[in-house]
Amino acid sequence: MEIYNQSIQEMINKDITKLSVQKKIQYFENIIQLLDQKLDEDELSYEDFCNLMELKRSAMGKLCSVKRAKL
Amino acid sequence: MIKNIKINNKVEKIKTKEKIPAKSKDGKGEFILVALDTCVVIDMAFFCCKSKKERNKSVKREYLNALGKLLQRNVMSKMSRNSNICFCITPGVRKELTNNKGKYFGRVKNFVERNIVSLDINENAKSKFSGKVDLLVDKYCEKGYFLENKLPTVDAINVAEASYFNLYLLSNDHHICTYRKDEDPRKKIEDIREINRSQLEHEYRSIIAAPQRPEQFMRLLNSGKKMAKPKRLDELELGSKTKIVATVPKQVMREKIFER
Repeated sequence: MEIYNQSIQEMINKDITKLSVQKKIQYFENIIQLLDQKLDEDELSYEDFCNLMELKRSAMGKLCSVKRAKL
Repeated sequence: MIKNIKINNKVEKIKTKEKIPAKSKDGKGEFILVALDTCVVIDMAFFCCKSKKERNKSVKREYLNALGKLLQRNVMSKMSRNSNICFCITPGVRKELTNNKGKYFGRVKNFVERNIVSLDINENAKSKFSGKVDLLVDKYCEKGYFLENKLPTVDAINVAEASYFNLYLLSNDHHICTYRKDEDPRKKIEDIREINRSQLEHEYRSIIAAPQRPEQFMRLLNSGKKMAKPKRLDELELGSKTKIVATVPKQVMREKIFER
């Protein structure tokens, strides 16, 4: 789980400034979808659930910023 | 269900999917509507409804006790006697706790569907709602709150939405509530109130809508001080065109809870 979280964190922090706005939105939506699949597992411990949720919040924050910048 | 209610001195029709709570089970007092932040929902779902085995020592005992006591007063609980609290989640919190199909995650699903009212705004007023929320988020960030790498966080959205609905917001997140390491912990809350007051104008009731920790809220409840009573869900002052869509838990004894 730790490795999974780490790689997702790297994806969230990756520099994607060169991508178009639409691609940026798609990029973060894909990350959120990946996290949603993991968060839906029934056997997650409290720590794992909270860590995944933290990552989701981070990705959602970035997605919102991209959408707001678009407007 | 359609109800006639008085908003801004005009009688309006409000449409909800379900009948919504009006009075506590004993019929004596009104409900206190309380919005929950994501972290509080998760902690309630994991610790307060599960075996002691799953409890985590890193979570503060006072905080967990407060959550337990709050749940005992939850109007949706079959076990509660002195129930006068109705827990709600705003659209932003629901988005965090659900997948892209709108289904709650397995570990929190049962808890949320049995204990919490999910609030939303009707389709016609959604653009006004998100416009106001965006404006509040911008103002919080201008003051330097809810930022990560100079970008607004989802905390800002959760605070803005609860402010818009005029609800108490309970959170355990030090980005949202007062934090002992803050230089001036009260200033953050005062600044948030000030921004809400200026942006939401007559729609905003500042005594209620400011984030606080569950322990603080529990102390406030126990103090016997007269609390600012939020109006019933269908009487919140959200402007004449804004209607609240409240989705209530399915598995509770509706007749007992919602019938007057």
